[in-house]
Amino acid sequence: MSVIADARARFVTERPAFVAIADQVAEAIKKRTRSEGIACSVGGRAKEVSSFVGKALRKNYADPWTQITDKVGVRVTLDDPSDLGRVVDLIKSDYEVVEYQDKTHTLWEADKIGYSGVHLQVVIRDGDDVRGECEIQVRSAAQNLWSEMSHRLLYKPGVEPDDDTKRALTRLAALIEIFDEEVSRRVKQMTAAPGYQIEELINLAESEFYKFSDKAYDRPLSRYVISEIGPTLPSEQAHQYTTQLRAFVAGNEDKLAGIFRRYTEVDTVVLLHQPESMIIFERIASDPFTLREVWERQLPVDELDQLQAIWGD
Amino acid sequence: MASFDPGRVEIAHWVINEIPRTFRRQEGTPPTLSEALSPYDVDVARFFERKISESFGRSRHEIQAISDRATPESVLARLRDERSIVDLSVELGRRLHDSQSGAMSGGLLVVTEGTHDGSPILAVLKLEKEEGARAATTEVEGKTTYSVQYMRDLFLTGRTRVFKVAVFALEGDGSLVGWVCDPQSKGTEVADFFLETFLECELTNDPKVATRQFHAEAEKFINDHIDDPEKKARYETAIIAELNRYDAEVRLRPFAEGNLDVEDRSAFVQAMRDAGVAPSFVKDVDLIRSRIRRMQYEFEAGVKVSYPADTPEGVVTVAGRGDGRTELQVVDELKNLHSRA
Repeated sequence: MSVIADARARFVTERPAFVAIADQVAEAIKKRTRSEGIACSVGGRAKEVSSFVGKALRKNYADPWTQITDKVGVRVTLDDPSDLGRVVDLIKSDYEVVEYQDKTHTLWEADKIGYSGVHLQVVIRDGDDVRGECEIQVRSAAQNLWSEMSHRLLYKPGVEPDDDTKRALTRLAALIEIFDEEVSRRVKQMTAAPGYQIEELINLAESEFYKFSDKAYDRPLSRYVISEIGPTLPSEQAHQYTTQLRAFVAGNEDKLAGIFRRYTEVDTVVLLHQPESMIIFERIASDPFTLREVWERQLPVDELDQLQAIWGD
Repeated sequence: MASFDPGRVEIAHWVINEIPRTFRRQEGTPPTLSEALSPYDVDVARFFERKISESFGRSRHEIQAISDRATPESVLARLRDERSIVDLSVELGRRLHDSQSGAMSGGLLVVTEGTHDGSPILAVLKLEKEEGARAATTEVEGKTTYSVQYMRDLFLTGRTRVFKVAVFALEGDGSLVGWVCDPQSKGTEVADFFLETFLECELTNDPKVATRQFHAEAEKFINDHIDDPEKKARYETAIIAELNRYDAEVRLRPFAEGNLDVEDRSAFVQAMRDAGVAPSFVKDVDLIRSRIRRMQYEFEAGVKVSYPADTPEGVVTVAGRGDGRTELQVVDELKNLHSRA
């Protein structure tokens, strides 16, 4: 058999293991970025057999099995482009990186359109055993779009891009850079605005609250209550509280469903029908003492007494 | 039933009886015993649930039937659907009225049923009737004012006092299990009227064992979780004081609230819960009496300092030093000095 035929046969045999690695790495990065409060989408894939063979033939590799390094790939697409450095640091701390390329600002390379974003080649181990390698791409959504577009325009087999197409891609790349910078600037400005954290907490609570209730609520009241009980929350690690609240709701889903079912027609406990009830119940379950101490400064104690009685435990 | 969480109780229906105030050896007013279920009202159902939860949030003790007694048998029969709730309510109302001794305040005996996580439960509540006033706007000579109506039979106010609550359920093997709040017995020496005479049940946990367990686990928490020597001393003093205090019960949450810094309270309650210490228990220091008379500090170098728990404040002070060591100071007149084995 030829070298390519050997490599193809081996790839067909081993591909299920590559699919498992891709899923595992993607899931691990998803969890890690979520716990760090980084908004992004993560996807993993094993290269298709046809794509593997096509690349080996196109590149005329002498050792395609070794030279094709993207047999397993994971892509991290960032909501905020300024999170790129944090994600790269996370990957570097979690994996053994054998190759690192930052092509964020390199448009043309060896007269070919460059890679956009950061590319890390990492080793995946199972204890001391090497299971394989994985190529992790970290990009902004705009870089992703540009990259896919440029590949579609440039990598048509047998078609060389003309100068106008190259020039158009250069202009688009500049736009992408401006777009990413503007997104980062706006995100920074919004998160620094007064009340942003409170609005984010309300949004978080609301997303959990509507799993159990369909009632419209009083948002100014939510702002008032959450601003008062804010000191009881781990504010310096707000993203971790997101994980904590979601885990609390998931772990008490049947109990919360029972409470909201029983109180559907009862409007005497005002805060129960507000999204902040999710946060209040979570605080009652995890640190009722601090909650009460803070609550008693400005909020009606009767209301907390009622919510505590409803929560029970 | 593995565990009881009042937040999972759903009350479905109830029967209310009025038990009048009685005085010993006096011919009293007979009780008013309902012959039918009260009409269902969703607010009232939720009110009863909250009152049960509120009471158990304060104090909750697991109870079991005293063998061959009538009340537990009757409750068991109802939970097994072998008799009606109204019959049971009449029987309990009569029993409570007939067995009351001394001057008992009047109130309402509520016999209510529902579910806990889908399993049937039966709850008995003794509520206090209250006086109050209701204000309503009115017009006098064409001008708006308030008229106030005096009411002497309120009982569903937010602050209505629940004298006693007991909740019963069936165990997996079909036997009766229950919980009661505020038992008044001091150890096993004095009978609790509501628990033992009326419900004919007893505490599942031996107060002596529960008290010893609390003492051991609370000290373990201080030694394992608290670094500041001054705080350690303050907490240990609080535990000894709690155990020496003439109260029938120890309740973990109020104890934490009254004696520990806010940042340590949840950790303390959780550590006690993880160690299996009941959230509240009847206190009996019989097994640890000698251990709570004195406080003792033991240092790495082998030095031990022991002193009576009721030593006046200021005689012994404890402080942490910058180098991580502990400084213990005794300021008093020296009485004597001697060597010992």
